[in-house]
Amino acid sequence: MDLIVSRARDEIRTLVLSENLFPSEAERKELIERSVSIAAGCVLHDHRELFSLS
Amino acid sequence: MIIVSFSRYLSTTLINTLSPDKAEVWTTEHLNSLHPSLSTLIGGVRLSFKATAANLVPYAFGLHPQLSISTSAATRHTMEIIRELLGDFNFFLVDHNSIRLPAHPALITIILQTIFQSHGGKLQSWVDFAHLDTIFALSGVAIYSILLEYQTGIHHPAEFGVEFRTKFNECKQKLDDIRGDPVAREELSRLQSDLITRGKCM
Repeated sequence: MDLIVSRARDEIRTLVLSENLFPSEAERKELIERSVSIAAGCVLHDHRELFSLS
Repeated sequence: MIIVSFSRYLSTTLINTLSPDKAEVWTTEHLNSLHPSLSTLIGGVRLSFKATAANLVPYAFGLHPQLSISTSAATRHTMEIIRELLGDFNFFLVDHNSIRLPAHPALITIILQTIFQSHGGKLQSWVDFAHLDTIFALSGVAIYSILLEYQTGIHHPAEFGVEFRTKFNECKQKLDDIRGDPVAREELSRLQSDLITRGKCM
């Protein structure tokens, strides 16, 4: 959970800068969900890599 | 078992890659708890630019804050400077070899300090330099927001909000307009390239 939160923070900064610096409430919610999704995907991928190496 | 409320984004394939022994239970409550901190981060991007602009603008443009003890001459002088800067995007574009470019030292310094120096340069890791126009426009709007505060005498401690979206889009449009001229496009490209080179040396 902590890993995903940490990753999501970086993702959301990137999304905000690259896509929408002035999101409405609905857009803000969508950005947050996407950042968590991307972060979760990255963490799961990293975990799989680690698991396959061990 | 993993409960995800954002399953429309996270593919089943990815979920299946997680080994059962490492599985973590995700609840809607978990995800909802993330929203406040991530939501704050969205405004934080704008705030970081505005905070840098707030420090630089008074010195870069020789402004005096409006105070009851300010002399009328000082206030008049400040208002004249601000009127000049707010007119015709002078807060954003300056003449550079007869070409109007976003090359004012204040604008460049805001970018350098916010992206490359803040938090030990950590911010550059999440900046995609393909979106430099966004960064330039954001710096321009940060200056604009500070100038408005000087003009009205009302300080806003928070980041500039959605009411500045139009001005931000206008700044980006100015950059697109510059690229309409081949010579100006080359100058702008050189300016942005120099900025990255200089930033990475900081």
